[in-house]
Amino acid sequence: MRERKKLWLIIIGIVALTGLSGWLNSPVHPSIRIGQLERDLNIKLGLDLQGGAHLIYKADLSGITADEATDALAGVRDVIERRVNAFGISEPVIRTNKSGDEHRVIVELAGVHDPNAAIELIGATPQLDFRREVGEEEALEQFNIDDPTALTGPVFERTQLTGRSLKRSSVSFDQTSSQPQVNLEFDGEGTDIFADLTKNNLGKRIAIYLDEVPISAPVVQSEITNGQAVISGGFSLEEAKQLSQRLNAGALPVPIELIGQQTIGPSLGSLSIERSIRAGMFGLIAVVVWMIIYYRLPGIIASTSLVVYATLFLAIVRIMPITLTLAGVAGFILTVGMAVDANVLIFERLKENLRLGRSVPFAVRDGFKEAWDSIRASNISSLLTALVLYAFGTSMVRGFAITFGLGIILSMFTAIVVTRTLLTLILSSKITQKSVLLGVKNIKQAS
Amino acid sequence: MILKTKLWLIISLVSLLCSSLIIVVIRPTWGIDFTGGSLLELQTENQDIEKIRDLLNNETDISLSVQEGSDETLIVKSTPLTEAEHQEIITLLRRENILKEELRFESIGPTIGAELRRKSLTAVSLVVAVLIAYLAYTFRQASGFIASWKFGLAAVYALMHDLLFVMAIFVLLGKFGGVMIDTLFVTAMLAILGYSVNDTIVIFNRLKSEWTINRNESLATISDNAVKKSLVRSLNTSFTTLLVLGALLLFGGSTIRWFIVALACGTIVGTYSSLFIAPPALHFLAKVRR
Repeated sequence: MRERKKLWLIIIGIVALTGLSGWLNSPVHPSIRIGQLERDLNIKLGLDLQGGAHLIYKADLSGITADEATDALAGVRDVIERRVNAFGISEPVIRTNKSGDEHRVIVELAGVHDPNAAIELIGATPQLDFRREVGEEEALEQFNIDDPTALTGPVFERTQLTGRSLKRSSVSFDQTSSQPQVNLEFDGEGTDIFADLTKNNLGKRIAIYLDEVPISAPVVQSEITNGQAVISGGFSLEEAKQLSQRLNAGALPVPIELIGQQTIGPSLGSLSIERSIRAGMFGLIAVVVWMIIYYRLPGIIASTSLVVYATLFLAIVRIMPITLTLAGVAGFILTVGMAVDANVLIFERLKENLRLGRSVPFAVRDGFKEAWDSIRASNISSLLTALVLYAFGTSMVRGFAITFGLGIILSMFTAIVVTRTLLTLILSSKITQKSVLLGVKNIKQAS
Repeated sequence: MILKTKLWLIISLVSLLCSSLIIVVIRPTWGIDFTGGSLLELQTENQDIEKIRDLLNNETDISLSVQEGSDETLIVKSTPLTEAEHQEIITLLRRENILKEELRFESIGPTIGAELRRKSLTAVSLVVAVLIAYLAYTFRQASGFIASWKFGLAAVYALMHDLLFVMAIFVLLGKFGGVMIDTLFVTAMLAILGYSVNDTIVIFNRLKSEWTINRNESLATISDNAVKKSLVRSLNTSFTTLLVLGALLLFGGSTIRWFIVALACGTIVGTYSSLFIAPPALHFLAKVRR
């Protein structure tokens, strides 16, 4: 009797867990907020399912030392993130990784179907720098030429002041010409450099270069110590705004180059997810029908545990959250097969034991014990496979490994807990110990 | 059933050799994710491929090939395109009112292709090594009967057979149907790997328990019993897996069609190999002197 009570408690637990998962999966699902942790519990779809752009950039670190590499890459990531955010893309995923000697930045933009604009935005490196005018004599000396006429205009030389010293930038209008202009405000160090620069170059010109092109070269009238400068390069308002925005996002610490991209259009993505879900439903229904026809009452139990399996799986996908990709869906399909396999193994052993003339309760108990050995061994091997694939695979393979691994653990759980408990409880009643329900002739009745 | 172990072994060797021969001689049609290159899939307004091909070849300097895709789409392949070249093609097609929608664009540099190949191969080799070790460990109690590493070796033999067999089918499909071997196919191979070993372990486990019950029987009889008793389970499991795959093939989108075909081939050959390749191979290994 105590045994039965325990079984009922387990069943109540399963029902509660499944109910909770079912609620999370239903359209009225709640969202979770525990301190920093926030989950909207919507299923996250990978780029191949919802459409979007996957961009792979190579970072050119030739100009910096190895120690600075990590910082520079983190900087690249931050800058790209700010630029992409300014573009209004929700939840961009930006990762850096190293492959061989190459440092990469991977940008995933979900839902972006015309990635051209995004690519332009990310790739644009607004390199701002200030250059001082070099006097004629100095220039001649520097270039080692004697003939002054070889110089075709003023010569400018790079200074220490670049966009890196920029604190923020904004747009305003020139008070006399009411032309839009871009205001620059330097940080502490930048302010000092700029003060020195203006002091030493009074009466000369300082050129402001953007992406190696001079955009304005005002003559220094006085020393500027408040760390503010203005670029008035005859911009339109739109241009001024854009430049200011780009300057605020900051310059990329190192140049990057687009070396690979994948873009999935919206219709292809939504088509595949819709169709895959519908197809998956039909597949599950077919399996349920087959299991019930073939195994009868145990088939119904297996179907129940399969439904519990699918419900829990989806709930965990939402909670984690796991991003579903096509490869991930494949992993799921495979584990449905394995979840069914666990049930099939149990039922086949059960039938075998019944045919050997054991009574139902013993046949169930031994059948489970014998099947468990196989279920455990085969599932552990699959779990090891999933772990290796996750550790060493490419991102697509990882998507497969994670749903595959999760599915194996869950399918073991549903086989041990759900199928076993239901089977033991339901078959403990004399009413159910019938040939027609179990698909075995001449069942020995327990004495 | 498998008493004629020699016959089954010869059949498996022949199929293994044929598969390898097909792969080596015909050579796989690699997808652009492995070779590097660009692929552009478009929904077009009119399907006159010749016209589009001429237009693209005459008006751009990019060398490209234009093919008909599934579901009335158009596929343009070329060497890796820069974003500017990509836009050039799109603008041109838009100007001529051909382009309805750009479904997919992939451009992969040769370094990434080589890296994907290397990574996929490393992952698969590691999985195989781990599986041999795990099988040797899990069948250690059976070592009075058969050296436990032989279980691992036999399972991996069956596994290699399955992987090469499915690969060969896709090499043929590539040759005659333009099906490409891409990273999605590699994922399918991994799934097949998981399925095949899973299935084989169940049979070996049965073999072990049969031996525990009846230690006096000959190995051939024990394997035969194990296979016979696992038959219904094996067929049932692969049948249900095929039910799900069949539904996906019938109702799923065209993007996953070949992926599902690969999985289905793997399920069938995986079930066959667990019953008719792994046990005979184990039998053969057991008879070889240690």
